[in-house]
This record gives sequence, C-alpha cells and structure tokens, in this order.
Amino acid sequence: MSLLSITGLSLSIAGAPILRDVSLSLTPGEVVAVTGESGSGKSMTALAVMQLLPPQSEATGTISLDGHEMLELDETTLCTLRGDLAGMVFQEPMTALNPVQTIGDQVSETVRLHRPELNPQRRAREVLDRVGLESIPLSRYPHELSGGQRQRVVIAIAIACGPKLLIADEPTTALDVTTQAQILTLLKRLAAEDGMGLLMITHDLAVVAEMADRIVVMRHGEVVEAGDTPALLADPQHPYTQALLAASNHRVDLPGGAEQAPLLRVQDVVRDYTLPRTKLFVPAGTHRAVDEVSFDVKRGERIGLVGESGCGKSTLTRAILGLEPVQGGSITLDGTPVTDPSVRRKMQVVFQDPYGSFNPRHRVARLITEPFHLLDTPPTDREERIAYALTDVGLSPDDAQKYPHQFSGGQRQRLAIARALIIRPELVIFDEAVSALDVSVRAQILDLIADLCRQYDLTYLFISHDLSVVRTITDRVMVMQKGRIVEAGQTEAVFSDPQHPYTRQLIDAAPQLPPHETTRARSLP
Amino acid sequence: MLRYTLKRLVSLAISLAIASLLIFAVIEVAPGDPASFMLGINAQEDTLAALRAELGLDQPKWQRYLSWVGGMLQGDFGTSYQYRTPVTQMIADRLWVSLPLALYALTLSTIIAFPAGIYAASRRGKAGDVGVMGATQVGIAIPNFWFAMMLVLIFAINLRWFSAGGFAGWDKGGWAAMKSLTLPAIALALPQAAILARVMRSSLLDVLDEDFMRTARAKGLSRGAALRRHGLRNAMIPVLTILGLQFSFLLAGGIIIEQVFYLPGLGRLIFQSISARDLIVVESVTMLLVFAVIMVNFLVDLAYAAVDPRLRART
Repeated sequence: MSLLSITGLSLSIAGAPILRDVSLSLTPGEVVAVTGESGSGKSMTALAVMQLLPPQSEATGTISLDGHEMLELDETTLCTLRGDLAGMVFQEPMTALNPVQTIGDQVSETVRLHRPELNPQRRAREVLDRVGLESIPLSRYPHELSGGQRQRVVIAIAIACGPKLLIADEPTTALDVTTQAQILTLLKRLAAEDGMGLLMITHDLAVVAEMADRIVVMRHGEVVEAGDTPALLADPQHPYTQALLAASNHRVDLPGGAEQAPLLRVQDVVRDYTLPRTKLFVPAGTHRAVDEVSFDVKRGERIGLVGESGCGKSTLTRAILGLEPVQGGSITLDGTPVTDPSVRRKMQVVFQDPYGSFNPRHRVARLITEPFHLLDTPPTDREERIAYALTDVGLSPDDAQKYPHQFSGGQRQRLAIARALIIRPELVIFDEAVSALDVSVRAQILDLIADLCRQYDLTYLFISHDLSVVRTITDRVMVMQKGRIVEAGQTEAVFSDPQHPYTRQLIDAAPQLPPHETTRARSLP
Repeated sequence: MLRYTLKRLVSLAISLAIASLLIFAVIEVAPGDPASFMLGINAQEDTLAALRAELGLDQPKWQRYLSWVGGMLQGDFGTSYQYRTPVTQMIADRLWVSLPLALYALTLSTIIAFPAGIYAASRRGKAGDVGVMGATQVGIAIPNFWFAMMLVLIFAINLRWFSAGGFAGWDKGGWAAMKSLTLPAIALALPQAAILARVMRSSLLDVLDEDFMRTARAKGLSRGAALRRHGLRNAMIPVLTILGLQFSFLLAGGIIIEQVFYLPGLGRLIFQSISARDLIVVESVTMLLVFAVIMVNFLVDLAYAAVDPRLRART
C-alpha cells in the first residue's frame, strides 16, 4: 500500500506547462529521491504534493496522500493536513525561519495547530532534542544559530507532529560538506525510526546515491527514468540519466602547466578582525580570520583552495585582491605588493553568482570591457577584442549588443569569464565560480576553463567547497581550516592519500557517486 | 537591551547638545535687534540700552547660551520680547492643542492605514489591491488645505456636525476639545494614512516573498494566519520609521491646517513669532520641536529593538 501516489500529474502556471504526466509513488519508510536540473519541475512536484503551488497554477491528474486526494481538497482541509500528515524541509535554512520569533515558538506553533492536546513547549523540547539540538534553549532566535543548526530546527518543525511523509527540497544544498553529511544522516535516521516516507528533491545525484531506495530522474517537467538506486546508477537506461551521471563525475583534460618562478607570493599573512567591545574599559578583542598563511603560485599553475564556510578562504581571497588590509605578512604579485593599484590590472575575478555580478542595465559590450578602465591606454581595437573574448568563451560576437537577462546562468558565467580574461590578466581568481550551476552546465564551464588553459596558459586560484570540482580542475590544492592551511600538495596526492584529519573528514563527508563504465566519456545530448 | 537603550540615550544627549548650539548660533546671526523692534524706530539710545540690559542681550554670547540652556533645563524658556509673558506658559498653552492634535491625527492615520495596507497586500494584484492603491494615490495628491476646506464645507457648513474652526479649550471638558480637533485631525491624517498604507503594503509584500512565509504555510497555517503571525512583525521596521517621521511632522507641520481651522497651535505661534522678531520664542519652540523629533527617534529605535531581536544583539 503506497503512502503517496502521484499519477498523471500535469501542471501549468499562468498557461505555461511546468509538469507533464508525472507519476511516482512512495511507500511508508521508503526514501525516494527526485532529481534533475533546474527547471526540471522537481520542486514543483514537491510543492504540488503540499498544494503550496504559486498562484495561477492549474494541476490535473491525481495526488493521493494516505487516502486523501490532495487536488480535490479545499484549502481549510489542506491546512489541517499540512504540517500534520506531511512535513516539508526547504533549501535555505538561513531564511526559512522567522527571524523575529524564538525557535521554541516556531516549533511549538506546529504542535499547537495540530495537536492541541499536547503540551507544545514540552513537545518542542522533545523534537529539538531528537534532531540533535539538546544544548540549544527554546528561547534562541534563528540568527543565533549556525546554518546546520537552523536546518535542524526546520526539520524539527516538519516532524513535530509525527508526519507520515517528509518532503525535503534540496535540504543540504546550502550547507558545507560535513554539515551536509550530518543532515543527511539525520533525515535518514528520522525516516527509519518513525517509518516515515521521505521524498528527497535534489539536483545532486551523489547526495542521494547512498540514502535513496529509489531514484526518479526528471527533465523538462517529465519523468525520464525511475528505478531502484543501485540498478539505476549502475545501468542508467535513458541517455539523459547517463549524461547527468557523466556530468556529475565530469573530468576535464588539463594541459601540463609550466613551472616557473612564483607569480603570486603569499607570506605569513595575518588578518585580524576587531570584535565589537563587550565591556567599556576592556580593549576590544580580535578574531583571527587568516592565520600566518604562506604559499606561492607559480606562473601557469592551477591551484585550488578548499574549506568550509567561515574557514577564512573568502578573507584570504579579498586580501589577495588587495581589498582587505592585512595585519602581518605580505602578498606580492610579480614582486609588487597587491595593494599597489598597478597590480589590479594583472588580476581578475570570476564570482559565484552569475545573476548578481552584472549591472542589468548595461549591454554585454560595456560589461565585458569594464577591465579596460584599469589600463593606462584603452585599446584601440575595442570591437575586435570584444568579438575575440566572446568567441573564446563559446558565445557569438553578436551577443555584444544584448543585455545580461537575455542569457542563461551558464552563459552569464561565460560572460564573467570573458570579462575577466579580456585584458589578459596574469592571475585569475575563480571564487566558487561554478557552484551555482547545474551539473551539465558546470561540466561545460569546466571544459571551457580547461580549453582556455590550453590556449592562454592561465594561472588561477580556484576557490570552492566542492571537492570533486577542485580535484579535476587544479594541479595543486590547499585545504584551509580555521584560518590556517592545514594541508597542501599535488591535487591527486592530497585526494588519494590525505594526511591531515580535517582533509580526511572533508573527503569522507563529500557525497560520491559509485564509479561506472557507462558514465564515462559521454556528452550531453 | 539595556546596553542598547543606554547607547541610544547617550546619542540622544549628544544630538540635543549639538542642536541647541546650532539653533542658538543661527538665531544669533539672524538680522534684527529685538530691543529696537519692541521700542519702535524712534526709541532713544539709552532706553534701548536699558532694555537690552534688562533682556540680557548685552552679555557675552557664551554666557547667554549657557543661561538659555540652563533655564530650559529648569523649565524656564525666558520671557517673550513681544508679549512680555513667560515663553514656557505660551508654549504650554499651544502644546495643549498641538500635541493632542498630532496624536489624534496619528491614531486616525494608523487606524486607516494598517488595515488598508494589510488588505491590499493580501489581495496583491487583484481588484481590492488596485482600489486601495488608487485611493492612496488620490490621498497623497490632494493638497491638505483644500481637503480641509472641503471638510469644513461639508461637515461644518452643510451638516453642522462640527464647528468650522477655533478651539473649544480643555476647560469645557475633553469631549468639546476633541470635537473641535476632529476635522483638523482628519485633514492631517488622510495624506499621512495614504503614505503609511503604501509603506505597509510594500513592506508586507516583501515579507510575503520570504522563505519563512512558505515554512509557515507548510506548517498548516492558512494564508491569513501566516500573514498575521509571521508577516506583520517582520514588516514593521519600515512602517515604524515612517510613523516616527510623521509624528514629528504633525507636531509642527500643521501650520496650514492650524490656519484653516484657526487653531492656536505651535505652528501658528512660531509663524507669528518669526514675523514679530520674537527670537526667544522662535528659539524655544524650535528647540522644543528638535527635542520632540529626537525623542520620537529614540522611541522608534527602542521599538525597532522590541520588534527585531537581531538589533538587540548587535547593540
């Protein structure tokens, strides 16, 4: 007897088709993962189950949850089912909680709504204990908790009334690898203990490879393949699944780097932040974000920097860009301190967010030629350079007259790369440059970077929390923890034989897909 | 929270000190000798000197500043050059009109704006929203003196529910006084309510798009309950800011409305004092208004902290 059964679900929002004939089912205690890239309709499927679809949505087909026909119920009945029969966990723990209410109030609200006979405060304490927040008082506000802790609170809200179905929509995407591993373990444990059905929505196949009983692959609003996890991963039938798996495990072919004199030299760099004063006559304390970090980047070298959020990698990056004063040590590029304005033109950055890093009112031609301001004499062959830069990153010279909103996320990241490379910088910094992209797009961008390496002998610093990406795109890697570089070495050596316990912890926590022949050497259709 | 309050109090004191210096300095450089103004152009030089001495105008500037500030701290604002009566008494009389009027108008404006803003936000894009927003456009566009005259025409002249102007005074009982303030309060409140409703709506709409509103719905709260329990408090910060600004404006900014309704309020007092070069009154009323604005800002800051725990932590 299935707990959730979706049959022939089609959905359109304001006339635009979103889902077509989606069917899936889930039995109590089963973990089913719905996966696919952005726009595949996986989140909408989840929201359709909760009937929390955006306005102007029209759904046909059936969604049967524990005997309730969700598409036919009125709003009042749905309100009694949401949070009681089915709980939901969302992607962004930082914003999923009400910032002006204590976590105790937010957890107990669910209990008060559906189980008025229970003592809401006591029940809130119990569920928070269950999700591993024993030491956190109910009177805490969300901003006093870390991202992982907040996600636990969201999970506590979802399970407070003992639902039969738990829907988790990208529950770990915004979290660090080690936190991600903990949250996944928690979800799996809760599902097993309560015999809950768990519907996991994720874009990352590796995340669910270890915990899902079954996987449903979606694309363009349709289910393209579904099956038991081991079988599906071992022998994917649909070309899209095969391509998705290949993209997840994507390996690029980096040319050999030229070893020469150091280009960037970071020596004993220290960055202290002054903490706010706590007492009137006691000097303010400091927080050491970067602690005596030293390394060299040689010309033509591709170096990776990994670590969890808060480890100091962003601060270090800003210091390298000369945007952050340092309290000790020196950072030089070609022997000149990076704080010198003349160094600016030798370094360019590609940021994570392909949406936020362009002024939406400027045309591409103007956007990608921004670095020309750094040159003493702007080049005379501006148009040619724009055409070259766009061609280099796989776009057309005609795109110069378009606006950023006319491009997809992956194309915008290509534009960001074109902007960084247009003045031929000596050092490029990729700051989580592929983290926001779908796997297949990410694979294309990684290939592009490898191509550009071949063409221009790029030297870059690649900052990422994603170990599998760093592994393929760099020659050397540095692992950063609490402001210090705890391990550094040749990328393959570090990954295959990590020396420092923290490196080992990171690698163990990173979800991995089982390797398979069929997933190799295929490209996306 | 205590640290936050203390910090705000210190900044309040500093602002007041700076404001008093500035006001004193500006009035000092303003042309016009109060003594010759009071005695007329034919006054004898020695009579003028005697009057200046009596008013304390012959003392050094710093001494006059200190005695002015010292007097104010004891509730003594000096003596009006024009009427020869204590300024404190003059201001107190006027404040008994202006303060209730401002509070009355603010209350009306809040009572109208909150439900209107919340209603519009909950009906985003639908007819109700469009209707409310259209009405607020009109409310902002209409000049308040014109609106005041229309009120007089309809409610005082045609319907004869209210008197057309003047202030009944508090000694005849609160009801009569409030009644004479009703039309002015409505005239003042309407444009303010229109602005406040728009701020309330847009602030709520921003909040409705937040992730935690979806969490609230996933808990099983209905749309309306989610808006009341989780939306409103998060939308309050911009609304409180505007409320604070509006109160400060209403206290002194009702000059035109006071003229239309012939109310003896602060606005009229300051207007008359400026025309008569009664600098000590101008000085005192300005200082009082500055004090009121700074106090309101202080209260708004406290309200922020009460609404949002993140501000309490940051201090």
